[in-house]
Amino acid sequence: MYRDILENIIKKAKGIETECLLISNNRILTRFSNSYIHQNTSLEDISLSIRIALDNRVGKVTVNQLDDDVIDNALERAVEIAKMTPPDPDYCGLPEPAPISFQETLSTLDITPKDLAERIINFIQAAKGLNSSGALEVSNITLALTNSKGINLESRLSQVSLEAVVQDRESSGYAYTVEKDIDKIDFTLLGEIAATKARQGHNPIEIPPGDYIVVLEPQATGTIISFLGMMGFGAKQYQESRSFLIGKLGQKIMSEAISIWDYPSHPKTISFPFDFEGCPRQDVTLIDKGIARNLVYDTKTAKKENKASTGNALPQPSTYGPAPFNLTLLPGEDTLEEMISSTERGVLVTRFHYTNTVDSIQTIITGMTRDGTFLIEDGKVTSPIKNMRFTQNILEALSSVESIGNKLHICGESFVGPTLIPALKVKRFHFTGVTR
Amino acid sequence: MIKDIAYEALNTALDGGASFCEVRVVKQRYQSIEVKNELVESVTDDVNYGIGIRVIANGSWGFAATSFLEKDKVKEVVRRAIDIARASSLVKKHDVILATSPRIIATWHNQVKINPFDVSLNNKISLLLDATRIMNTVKNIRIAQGSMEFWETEKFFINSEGSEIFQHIIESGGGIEAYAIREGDVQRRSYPNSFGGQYENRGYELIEDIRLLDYAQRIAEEASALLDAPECPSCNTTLILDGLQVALQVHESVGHPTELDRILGMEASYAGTSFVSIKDKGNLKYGSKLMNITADATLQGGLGSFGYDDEGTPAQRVPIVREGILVGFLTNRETAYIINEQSNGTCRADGWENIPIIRMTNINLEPQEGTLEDLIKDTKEGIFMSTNKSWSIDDKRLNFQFGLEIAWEIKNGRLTRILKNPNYTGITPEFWGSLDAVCGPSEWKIWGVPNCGKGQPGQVAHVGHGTSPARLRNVRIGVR
Repeated sequence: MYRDILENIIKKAKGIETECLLISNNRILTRFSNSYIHQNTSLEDISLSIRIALDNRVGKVTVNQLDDDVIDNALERAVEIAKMTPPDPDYCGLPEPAPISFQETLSTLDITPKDLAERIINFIQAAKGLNSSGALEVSNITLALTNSKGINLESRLSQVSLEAVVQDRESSGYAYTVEKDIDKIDFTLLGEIAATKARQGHNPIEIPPGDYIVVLEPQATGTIISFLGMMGFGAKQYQESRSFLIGKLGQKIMSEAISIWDYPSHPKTISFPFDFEGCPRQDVTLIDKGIARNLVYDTKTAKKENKASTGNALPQPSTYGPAPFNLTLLPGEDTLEEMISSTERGVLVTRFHYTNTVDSIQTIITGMTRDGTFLIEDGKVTSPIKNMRFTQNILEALSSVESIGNKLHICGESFVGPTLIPALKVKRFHFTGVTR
Repeated sequence: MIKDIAYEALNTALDGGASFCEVRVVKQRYQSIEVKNELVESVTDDVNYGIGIRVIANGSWGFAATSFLEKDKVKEVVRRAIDIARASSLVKKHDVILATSPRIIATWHNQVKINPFDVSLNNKISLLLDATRIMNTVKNIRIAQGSMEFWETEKFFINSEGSEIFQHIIESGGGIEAYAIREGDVQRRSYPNSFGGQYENRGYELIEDIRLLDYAQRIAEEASALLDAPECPSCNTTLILDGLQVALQVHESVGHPTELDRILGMEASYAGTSFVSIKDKGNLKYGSKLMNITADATLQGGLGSFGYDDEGTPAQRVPIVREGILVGFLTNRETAYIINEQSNGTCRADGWENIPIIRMTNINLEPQEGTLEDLIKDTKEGIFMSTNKSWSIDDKRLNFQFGLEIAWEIKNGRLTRILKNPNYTGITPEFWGSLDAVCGPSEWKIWGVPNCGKGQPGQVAHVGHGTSPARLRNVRIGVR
């Protein structure tokens, strides 16, 4: 347990307002390409941040050793930095202890590199001779936070993730999953799914850019929801007039079929029970049936509006401010197959690649399709198509939603924590280019 | 003591059955200062220390790293690296063979006039506060911010082939940004570059040279003016890019696709592959005859400069594109062997905790002639775009789209009205094929990119791009 070490630092600070944040990471990551393991790594590391405040002057030092002399020196330097820093008139002190609303299991995954290699063999064999690439990662992360107001927390989180691409000459398919238990991952099934899609992608045709109906598989939907999540649900963005939600809270801004939560208590997601300043993580309704309802807060932004933190603090001090950690788009009723069969002419997208913000206030993003893009005609997938560039206003896309998938998947593209996302059918989606 | 631990790790690996081993002990100090609207947002000071051991055993790679530097712990980590290599060998196609590399005994440090960690925090904060104060006087500026970052890295490298290298590198960076905000429109201008400013392998003299206070007013006024500017039109036209944007264009559409690990499929599942293949060397028409790209890790001050890469290969200057033809790749020892070459020294790791992989050094578009002023005078009609705002490119590095902070219309050889939200798109070889002018040495500068992401687990590299403004014909702009 690290809490004893952190408590000792608080004692050494002798009454100075102090916060200690410790993150330890034990990780094995096995990477394969061209159907063999080409990179295979393990890491054990610790990051200890000591943040102190003297008369609203804040200093912070981070080290990755826990020797007494290193800690003593870090504490001294944090005090020196605080003394040289002008007072922050918005500094509002450290949070007080609060009841934790849910508990994460204190599990540790004890998996050897050989175990991982054997799982990768299963995946590669399922691809039946096609070119397999990917990364299988096991991580055990401990988060401990102690402050001079009495917060004293420690939690551990373990997860296994697989991200893989199977290539069949110029076409490719994709698989992604995250679980708390490696035995819940069916590596053979994932290999078959990615390989099947790769085989279906031969000889893609080119279709002209323009507006199409799209059926977005969960990974593609996840990219859109993740980008929206970073564009303005954080209270600091809103307070600085940088949020797309300025003037829109309480208003209907997308289809009433859409509800988006920050949902750390969802059994399928993975979250620590407290944030990076020790406040309990809470479920927050961000969009309720198309209506923009709430922002997420850390202590500093909450105080400005005379509210309580929602448990969304990043490590402090944060120029970015609070952010949603566990974005969840609540599921609908349709299967992916039903979305396809109800489409007269449209595009099926497996996932997006290298997406970036064009205009965060207008919620415009651009990116490419990747690892399986197909034409849908008369309710059937008829042909693979060349990857396409989209430039799309997210709010407009989410205003033209026709149906939402009935299954939640953890998505690969997320900024803070994992996102839980279903498939989505959108009536109008704007493609602006085609690659070769 | 560090030397003792490193050699003990090396000997433990060889005794344990490794056929090859390299050990890196890295200590890095990092300081960052962020100021917003005349208030300090954050000051952080980090010290990070650890050891990474990479081995070949049973013909496969294994790597383990730890921040716990006790001798027994390090020995345990070495044994873990060997176990990992043996696990890798359960799923191998061939033994890893490295291109030969000279045995190097050396020390290297970059040239620094003022160690940034010797400059008082007060001075750094005051400069940034003053810059934000100036920007905040301009109408419509709601957010004025500035930042500085400094790194001091000490690396000790040894390998089982007898190399022993110590390097000491200081890097500095800083910049300012003004956000004009009005009625749902947010417009940003940055100086000297976006996303943190300019970064170089230099000391605090960089911060003095970029003269933040002299430019604060100008960028704030430009941000404010953008609120009233018309949108960049949608059309095909002649495009002039400033050196900052040419740097990012080179980064995304030349640097990444010529990394040999990408070409060989080693990054397929994450960042993607490349439209370039091994057989394209000497054949592929990458661009017009004015396109000369060089990878140069030897340039003084470049953010991608060093003495030796993290395999111990000396820094080199290597042609990648000559007169529009692809002539080289970025390689390390493993990939160079596959194409029967020697490594050209581009293998670097993010800290002690990651394996070295192929990273850009300073990937430069060689200058031609003339000034930006000459180039604009020589352009009857077109658009001049400045300072990157967003970037996106496909997994083979062909179809790209970039957004910029600001543009000016060019009419009869003169800059006229300002345009907001400019962007452009293209396909890599066609775009570079339309290159018809590159400005000369007086406009050429090495721009630092401190946030190049690659690999799994994700690694961040500091790279550079020597570029000058360039002109391209018939480019699609204003994608909406």
